[in-house]
Amino acid sequence: MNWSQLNELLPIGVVLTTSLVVVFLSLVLAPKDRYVLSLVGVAGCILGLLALGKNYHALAAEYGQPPVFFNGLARVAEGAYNPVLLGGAFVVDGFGMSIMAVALLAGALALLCTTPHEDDSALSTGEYFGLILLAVAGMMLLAVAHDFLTLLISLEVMSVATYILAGSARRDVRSGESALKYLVLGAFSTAFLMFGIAFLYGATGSLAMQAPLVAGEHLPLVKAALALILVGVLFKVGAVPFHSWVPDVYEGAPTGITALMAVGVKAAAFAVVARLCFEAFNMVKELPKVINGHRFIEIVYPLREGWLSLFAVLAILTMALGNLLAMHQNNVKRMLAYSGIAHSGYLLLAFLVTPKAGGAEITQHLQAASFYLLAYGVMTLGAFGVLSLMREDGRPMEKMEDFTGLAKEHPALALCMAVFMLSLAGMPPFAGFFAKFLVFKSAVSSGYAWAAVLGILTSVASLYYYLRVVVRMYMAPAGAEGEPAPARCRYAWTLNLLIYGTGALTLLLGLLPQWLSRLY
Amino acid sequence: MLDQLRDLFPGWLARPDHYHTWYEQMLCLIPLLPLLGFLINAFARKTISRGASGAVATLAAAMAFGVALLCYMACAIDSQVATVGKYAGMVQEHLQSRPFQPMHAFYGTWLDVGGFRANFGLYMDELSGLMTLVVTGVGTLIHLYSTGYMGHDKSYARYFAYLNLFLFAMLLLVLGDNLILTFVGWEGVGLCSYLLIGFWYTDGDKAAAGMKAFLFNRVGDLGFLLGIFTLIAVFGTVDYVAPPEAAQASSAVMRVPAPPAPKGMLDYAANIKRIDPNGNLTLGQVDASQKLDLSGTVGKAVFPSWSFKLAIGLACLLLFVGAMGKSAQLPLYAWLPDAMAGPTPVSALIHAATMVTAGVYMVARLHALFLFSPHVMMFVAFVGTATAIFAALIGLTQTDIKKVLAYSTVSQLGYMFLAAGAGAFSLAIFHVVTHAFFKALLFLGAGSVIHGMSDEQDMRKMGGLRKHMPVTFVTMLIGSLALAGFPFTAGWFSKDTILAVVLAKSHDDPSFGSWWMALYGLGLIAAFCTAFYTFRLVGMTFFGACRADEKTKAHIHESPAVMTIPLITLAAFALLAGWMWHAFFSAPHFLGMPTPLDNFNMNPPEIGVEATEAQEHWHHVHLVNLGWTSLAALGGIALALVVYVAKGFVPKGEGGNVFTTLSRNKFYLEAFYDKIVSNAFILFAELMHVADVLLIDTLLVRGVAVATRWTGAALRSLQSGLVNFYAGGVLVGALVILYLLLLS
Repeated sequence: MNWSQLNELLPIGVVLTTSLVVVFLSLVLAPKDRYVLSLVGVAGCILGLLALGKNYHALAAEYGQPPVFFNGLARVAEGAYNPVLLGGAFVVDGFGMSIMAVALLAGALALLCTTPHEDDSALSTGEYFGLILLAVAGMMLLAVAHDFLTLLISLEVMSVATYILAGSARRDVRSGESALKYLVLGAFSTAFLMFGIAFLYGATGSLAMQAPLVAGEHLPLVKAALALILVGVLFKVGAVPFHSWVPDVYEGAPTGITALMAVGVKAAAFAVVARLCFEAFNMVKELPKVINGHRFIEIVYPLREGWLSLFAVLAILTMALGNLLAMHQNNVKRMLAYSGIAHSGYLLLAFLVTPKAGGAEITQHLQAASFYLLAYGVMTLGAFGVLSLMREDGRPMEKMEDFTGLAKEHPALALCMAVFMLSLAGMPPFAGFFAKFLVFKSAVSSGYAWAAVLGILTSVASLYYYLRVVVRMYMAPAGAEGEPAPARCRYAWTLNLLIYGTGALTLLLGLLPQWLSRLY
Repeated sequence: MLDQLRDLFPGWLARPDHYHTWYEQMLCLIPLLPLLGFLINAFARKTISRGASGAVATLAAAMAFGVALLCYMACAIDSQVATVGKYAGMVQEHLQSRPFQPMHAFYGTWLDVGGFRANFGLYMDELSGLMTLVVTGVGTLIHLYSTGYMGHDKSYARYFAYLNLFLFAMLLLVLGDNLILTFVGWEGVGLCSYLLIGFWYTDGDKAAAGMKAFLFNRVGDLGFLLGIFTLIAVFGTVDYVAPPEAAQASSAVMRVPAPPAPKGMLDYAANIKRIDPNGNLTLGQVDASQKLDLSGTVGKAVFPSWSFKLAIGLACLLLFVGAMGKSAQLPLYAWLPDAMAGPTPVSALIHAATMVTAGVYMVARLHALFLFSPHVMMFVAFVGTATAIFAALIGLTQTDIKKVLAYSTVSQLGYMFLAAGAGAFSLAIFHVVTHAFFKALLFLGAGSVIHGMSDEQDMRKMGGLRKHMPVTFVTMLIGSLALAGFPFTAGWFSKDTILAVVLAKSHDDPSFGSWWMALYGLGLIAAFCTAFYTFRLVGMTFFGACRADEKTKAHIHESPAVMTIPLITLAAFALLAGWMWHAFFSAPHFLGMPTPLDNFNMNPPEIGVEATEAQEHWHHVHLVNLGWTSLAALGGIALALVVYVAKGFVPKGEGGNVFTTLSRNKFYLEAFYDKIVSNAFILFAELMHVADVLLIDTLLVRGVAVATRWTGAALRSLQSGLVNFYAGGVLVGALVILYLLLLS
């Protein structure tokens, strides 16, 4: 085995190593110094991002810009950078890298959102930070997993870590409820996934992503297998009708962990959706033609075809339900949970690819999806970051009313929050607008204009609840005198910095979307 | 030294044979320097002194001019020669022997959406280069003049900020390498024009004049935008010429084949070989009568069975509507006279020399497209002539010194469009250039007069100023001679050749021959009127006895040097600029455009015998025209001198015969706009308001909101919080999906 081959997985290695370092460091550090752990963890994430950047440049140098997506059929020669690793178990391509970057950002924010001075000791122990990093490593693995075995293992690395993290606020009853619900329903969905994988293996004798290519006479079984796998993945994504866990789990978990789930888990799960849609849903049909002894085969897309309308309907339902229910929430965190469901719906639109679509169209759809994930990630992380800063006597302030008059007390934070809200609603100068634009455009180009129109309508409706926050911050009169100002955590400057950074990025991605699309 | 630098940085000066690339990178400085000046004046206006703010703005304009000159030289001649002064003697030689090499600087992709791409790129060829030199050159002089003229104004820095912003937008308009950038500049100059017309916004009339300019321009802009959309539909691109190769590099690792290199619009049209007398085109590759090959463009859906020629014709017509708004042609001219509410240097720079000629520039820029459509060209010529005569007739009776010049500008713009419509695009630009000099001069001179007369603009209260303001008098006299078309001044060269081309067209264009004769006649009458009202202005202002009141009279003074230096410089150009007619007229394909001779088959390439015949014919036509135009100009001048100088006639501003009443009241067209058109719009708006409140606000907005809330409330009951309920939901969903999939 040639170790240099694993250079491509270096970012994941960095994160895993950091998680171990953090756990060991927690043994030697005094409890009051444990905030160092989160900084070490963030350093690990930054190192991971740097390694990712280095790999990205190697990939771009080898395969030209922009390196988007390798499917399992791409013939990849041995070179300085090998996207296909370990016999096809991992494919570290440009798309996977963009998801990895989102996961690393989410991890960094989750690490910084913690408040170790609280008397809730669970939040400040080393395991907590170690588990966040482990979950991030799981997400990164999932982003590049390319056979069903690595997919399952990565998914579980990520999920088990998040189950524990959801319940890490031990004194908070809601946190325990959140963890338990997540665990039970998560296990339930994983069962579907595992059944699917078992069926697939039984039908084809292979666990490779392109196993359905050789479905042959077992086509019905393979179809059933893929349906079950998809149920497992759509559960993680939070698409209707597998969304019901999202609000309860997001609301109960500590805010940083909610951000991790809303952004990191979702991005990683969407990476799997992409690999399924664009690779696993292909099948090879043998043509009866034989010329000069060569038998001719044709790739057909029976699954892609069958799934298209279903995907469109799921997307519409997800958008509509998420937005409609978000309107009634008075708890901002729960509102953001529903908004996350709605955004999953928009993202699903990016996967409506006509069966005969060639490489160029698929590239366009993937660019739309990865841009959306990055934009959504940046603005959602920022919003959760602001939310986690809002504390009073160590108790989180998550109600709409708590935002009243924030613009007066913390103008910069309020401005960032307004930017995030407007961007989430898809208002023009911000990243969210361009993300939605790309997704709707790709839906229209696949002939699903009606889905795009419905999407735009729901997006208009969403403006209502996003603006409620902005109105509260800027226009509502600051209630009775003596209403307490939101206090901040001790080392908030790091988190503040991250929030300003995400705010700037939200604007930048909206103004210069081209800047990013150079990267992919 | 440059050679040594090149050895040190091999990649820096990429093209070894000349230093083009280096200048290409400098091209962006031309618009960015005024932008920098704007930013300084806009954000530091409270902190920097008045002198500093004027100096910053003037310096920014002057530096932009310097860079533009360098870049232009680098295109025109081998830049090694330009850099090393001791070879200056070779410059002349190179100018003649070496074709102009356009620069195309690419700074990045702006939008890349659905196969449609807009770049940040600047393009300097002969046309845009010349316009850049005029804009920055005249602009610099007017900045300098403004430091004196606006000396007493309290919003000094704001004024210079706007002026610099205008230069930025205008340069973007001129240098932009695609229609979208040009449109950004187009809107930018419109905005600056609005801001500067209403510069003294506390005066309600002046603010309203700004609004009027903006509204009239919006009407034109709608046409311009639709024209751009049409062109996108036809060509799938907005680039004038294909962007440089670096910009086209694109590939993705799913092994997506790179799309075919996009071509610019003018590349498609560039292979026009010649135009026969019937206005039909002979093309290298595209046959104008062919159906459009729109595969891969959106045009397929929009123009399913249109011919290339027809679709281009529509686009050109719409673009010309935009030009009518910006360049104040009938019926969208009415904003320009009102625009005189702004400070006088602004009238000189924006409403005479540069912005209003943007429409002419745009038509010339896209001349290759206009050539596809002789009928649209004819329409352009008609509108131009109608405007020229209409505005000249109004100019005869105006008594406000700036209003006379404003109507004269409208009229001269008409001449430019007449030239463009006749196919003499290079002459249209020639007239733009000479007009920029003499009209800027006249406005600045008028400003000097107004300044000296304590802000009096009514010519009936002036007179005899030549003794008090000798420099202003002499320079304005030169400008007036140029405007009137006095032989051997700049205006004579450009206007005379335009009319000569029109006359020649009347002989050679079989389909529209007699129409051209009519246009020529109207053009001559307008030329006579021009000469008359110009010297009416000179006579009423500078000759006779002074009619001002005592207080004003005591205060009359010649303007300071910062104001007279620009006047003298511009006067020199107004006298001498005409002598570059040779370059415009006879050099083959000046400005990259066909010369007027090419256009109507008088100078057919490669056929020797016919060429001489045609040229002889042209000389004959030119001579006949020369007689007529000289007669019109000298006759007009003489008549005005007799009436206003020798007899000292002063109009009363009321009464008179039918004609003077009509002329003084602008043929009641502006009253028609004010009373009928705007009232109709207000009525319509009221109706819409009622419909909006009843239908949209009440029924749709409220109704939808209420319905949405109800639905959401109903759905909430599904979120019970019970895990087994949730798991049941997952199970049902999974079963439905399984069932649907296995069915398919």
